[in-house]
Amino acid sequence: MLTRIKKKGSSATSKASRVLLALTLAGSLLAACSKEAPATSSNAGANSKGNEVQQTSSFSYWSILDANASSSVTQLGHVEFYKQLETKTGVKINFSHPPVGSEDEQFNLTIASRDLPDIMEYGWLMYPGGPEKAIQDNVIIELNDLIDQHAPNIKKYLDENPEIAKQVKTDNGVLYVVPSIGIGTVNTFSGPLVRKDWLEDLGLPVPETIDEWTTMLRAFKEKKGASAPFTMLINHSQKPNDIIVGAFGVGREFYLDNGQVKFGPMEPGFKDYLTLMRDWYKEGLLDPDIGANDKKTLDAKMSSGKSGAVFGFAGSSIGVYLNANKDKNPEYDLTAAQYPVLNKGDEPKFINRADSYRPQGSAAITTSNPDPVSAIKWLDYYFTEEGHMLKNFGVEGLTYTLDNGFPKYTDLIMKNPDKLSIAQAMGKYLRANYPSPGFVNDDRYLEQYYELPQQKESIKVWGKYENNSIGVKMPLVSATPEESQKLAKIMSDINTYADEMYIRFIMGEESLDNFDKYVAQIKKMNIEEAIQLQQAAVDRFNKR
Amino acid sequence: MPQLSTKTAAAEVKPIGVAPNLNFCRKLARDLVRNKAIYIMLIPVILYYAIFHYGPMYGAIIAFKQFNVALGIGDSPWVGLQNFKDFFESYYFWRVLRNTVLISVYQLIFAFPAPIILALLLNEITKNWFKKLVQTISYMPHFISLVVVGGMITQFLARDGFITDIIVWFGGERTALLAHAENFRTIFVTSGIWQQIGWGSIIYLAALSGINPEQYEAATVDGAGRLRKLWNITLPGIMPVIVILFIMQVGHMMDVGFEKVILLYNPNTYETADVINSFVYRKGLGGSFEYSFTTAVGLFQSLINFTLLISANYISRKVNETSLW
Amino acid sequence: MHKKSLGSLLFDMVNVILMCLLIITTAYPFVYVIFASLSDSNMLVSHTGLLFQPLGLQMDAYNMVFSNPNILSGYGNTLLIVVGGTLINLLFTSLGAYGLSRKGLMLIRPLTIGIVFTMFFSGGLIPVYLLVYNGLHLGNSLWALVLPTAISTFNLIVMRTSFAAVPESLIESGRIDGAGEFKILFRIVIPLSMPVIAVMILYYGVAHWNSWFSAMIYLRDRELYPLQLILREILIQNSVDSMTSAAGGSDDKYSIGESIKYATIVIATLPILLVYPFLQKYFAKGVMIGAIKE
Repeated sequence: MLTRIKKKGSSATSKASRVLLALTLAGSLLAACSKEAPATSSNAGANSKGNEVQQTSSFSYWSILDANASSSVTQLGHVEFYKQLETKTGVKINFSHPPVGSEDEQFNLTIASRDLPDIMEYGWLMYPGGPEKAIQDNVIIELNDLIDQHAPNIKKYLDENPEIAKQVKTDNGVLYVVPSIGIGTVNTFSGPLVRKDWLEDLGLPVPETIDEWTTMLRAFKEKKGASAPFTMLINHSQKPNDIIVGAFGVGREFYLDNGQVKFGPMEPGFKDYLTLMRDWYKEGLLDPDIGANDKKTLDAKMSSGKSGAVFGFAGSSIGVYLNANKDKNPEYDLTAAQYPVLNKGDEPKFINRADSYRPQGSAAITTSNPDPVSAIKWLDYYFTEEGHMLKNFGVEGLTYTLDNGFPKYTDLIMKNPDKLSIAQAMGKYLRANYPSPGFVNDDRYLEQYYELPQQKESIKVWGKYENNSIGVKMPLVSATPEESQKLAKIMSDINTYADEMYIRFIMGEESLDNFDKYVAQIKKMNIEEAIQLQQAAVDRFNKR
Repeated sequence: MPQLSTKTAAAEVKPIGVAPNLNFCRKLARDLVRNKAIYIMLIPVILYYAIFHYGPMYGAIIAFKQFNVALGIGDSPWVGLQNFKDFFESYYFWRVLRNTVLISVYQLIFAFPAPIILALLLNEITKNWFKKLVQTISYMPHFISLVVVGGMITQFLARDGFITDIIVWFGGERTALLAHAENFRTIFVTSGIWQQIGWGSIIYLAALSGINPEQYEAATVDGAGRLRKLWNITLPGIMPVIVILFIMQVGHMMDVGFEKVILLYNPNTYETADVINSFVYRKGLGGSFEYSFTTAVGLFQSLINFTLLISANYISRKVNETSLW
Repeated sequence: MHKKSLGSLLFDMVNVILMCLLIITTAYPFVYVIFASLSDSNMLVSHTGLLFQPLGLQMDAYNMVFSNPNILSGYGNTLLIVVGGTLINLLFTSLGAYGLSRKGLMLIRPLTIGIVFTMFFSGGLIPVYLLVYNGLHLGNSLWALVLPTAISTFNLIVMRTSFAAVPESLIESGRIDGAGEFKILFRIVIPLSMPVIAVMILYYGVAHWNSWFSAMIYLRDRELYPLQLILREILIQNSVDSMTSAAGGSDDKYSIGESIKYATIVIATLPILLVYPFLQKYFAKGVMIGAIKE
């Protein structure tokens, strides 16, 4: 009976044996393709005493592979800067990078598996419990003594810049990373953007006060046909990019007022802000669809002329919008506007200034590192003049030439023969345009990095008052694990409530007469406790 | 095996009190020997589940701890039910629970039958080439990533989106549909149907192909019309698959995924759109990796899901013979 | 030949219309994706609404993707994972489905419950990761991508349901003929369940084809990355959302992200669409009935 079963297709027996064969084949192929997990601990050179930098050491190094570099190389070791660095210092670095977009997950798993690389570049402030906990948990080591004894350049810089050193230390004064520090006079790369060609056509000045903004938006609507003159994104991650709220003297979330932590959405100034937004919305000056915007629709509105004013970045926004129009609408032009204020002559305070200490590109030495002394010496090189030039400008003659002492990038960078953009060319030969241990954002680099005149202008405009933000912006505090858990618990409810009410107030679905009820509700949800937690962290920061 | 010999053997040899246990062991041993081949066949399967599922299951205890990656699961401190309390005491607990349940129920009522209906309709198509064409094209949306689908939905339902145009043409109001809370569930479920109807119908088509055409021929001879054939032959033929899939869907009621919700919602629609998983996701954005909290909520969801599954399975077993176990 | 009633004819007409509507609504989004992938990114950025043709036809996105050094190895790895992985899946799942579909055995019910239980309760990512990486030392190998997912409980249940529907009489006569259980499984039950096997090949195959998460956490060498992970990287690299890639410049290099988003979908999906027609023949009506007749 078995043999009489016929089907379309092969017979059962040969099918089974074929399955088995394929399985074995697959198995052997898979076995052949699996490789040994790469060794993550490394061997230090034979002599690790003395101050010689020429030793044969090697370290394993974990960091994110920035998009600008990854377009040309698969690991940082192939970047020209690192090749040069290896020659000059004699230290070999074995890079490993998490897949792009999954860095946080990979970070957790690496730590969980206890298979730590020797050096890890990471924003250690994000570690639950902060950097102190990372040291306590035996993940990374304290660097104070090491820097004191073996890293003269780092030590000198930190001693001479106590305010910045404060950012880099824990609340107890412990140094935990070799930091990435933004030097340079401008640290603000985003802010209000408006249609310059429209302003010129309408004979309007670049707006400075809220009233001037209202006038401008009205003109955009009536005379330029903009259906959404001012547009924005309202989801949670976009809140720091709110450019209007600062005019009313309050921050969009937590901020400082004379050393006191306050929560913007419950302050009286916020009611004035909401009133303005509601009026704009009613008059059609604010995008009627701000509830449903995502980045794509935002970009589309700005590029196509449905909107005339928006929050944007010097690089990506200006670049994208101008590019999108350079063929079809060559008149299209953008200019940066100053962060708006209420009264003429006031100076804006709530500006998107990047902190000097850039946690993301800072390097920590892990407890797996067999030779921290050599490691810190190697990292010290980044803080020397030579190391700084090598990292940000590269090799003289190849990537830059000295023009009266000013390092000018060569065509290899500025007009790359392989058609790489400036950012990508820099990613291939240098490590200048994203955070890294040592100094970044050198003025001389910044001048040449932004190609378009509008971009160069924009950072000057936005950066003009950026130091005003120092007294109002929350500093880089670190919270204890208990604090951050409590904070997360309280704030997730409050943020949900505040965000919902925000859009309801603006769209007119909730009357602003209920503002006090809304504040009372926020208080009921324990905002005071959250403020206290933040205040404690700020106080600790100030005492560092 | 003949009952008599068992009883006699037991009565002869063992005292009454011990008999039931030993009886059970004996039965088990006999069963294992008799069906040795089948059990041997199941060994790799059992090993797989033991190693990859039951082995790591201890990880669930981080729901009762404050998990720290560096300390590991063993050394992280215990916090008892704190994570659960954090969740239940949240201001929005009932809301996200309600939204999750409602969306799941709508999906059960509307999205579950859709692929079945499609399969049945396809079954009625006589031109084979047309049937194949519809099959091949209808499952394409399944492969478009959620991010792109979300982007398309946002665009098409915008104030000037083309679906909005159609709605206005039918007399509706011109507005950005995604900005209004009352629209969210409809949009969410309907777009889900559109994206999955083709892919979901595949399993039912496979089940339909297993029905003996002779049954249809006999029914035609008996004078049965198309509707009768559907009711008496087709539906019963695929009923086991339908029931099993239905039970399993009931077992996933708490699981409305966060990715699609996050792509389509905004603060104005939190009221109807915020589900358990999107709420937990936002909480984790504070920067600290809230493994423990997420695990605790997951445990809660699993408990409810499993209870629902057991109930659905029980009811199914009573009503017809098909059930998971 | 029966005459179809008016109601019947009407039904058929409506059915065809519905199917046509379905085709249009489900085909169009993919057509949109294809057009977008061939469009100039700059024009895409400012465009809203439907696309009826590529905007500024160009192959930039595809060039960018295919010039990535890991694309070829990505395809190769994925092919290996799909074929090898699906075979492993089929083997394990059939064994399980057959075993669990047998009635009268004492342990079947507890086993089934124990297996279904794992659909709901799991230890989470970290214990599994530690098991695979530290415990079994499968880190950085393709085995880590196929062994932990050797059986999908959902698929197991579906297959079991199908196996249970094979007439007991056939199995009995197999036993009478002296066949052991393995033979019965491979020579009777599986051949008679080809539609479900075809569905399983589709489900497991597509799952392997689309997977990138396991690869992301277990693999270190880029040469082992499957296609989806490579595409994902390309996508993110070219996304204009990342702040660090605040590239300056008036060149188009960087809004190319828009069209790449769509190109990656096309590249990843086209192969699957080409496979499905081959499996379709198993869904034809009564395909297995010929097998039962002797």
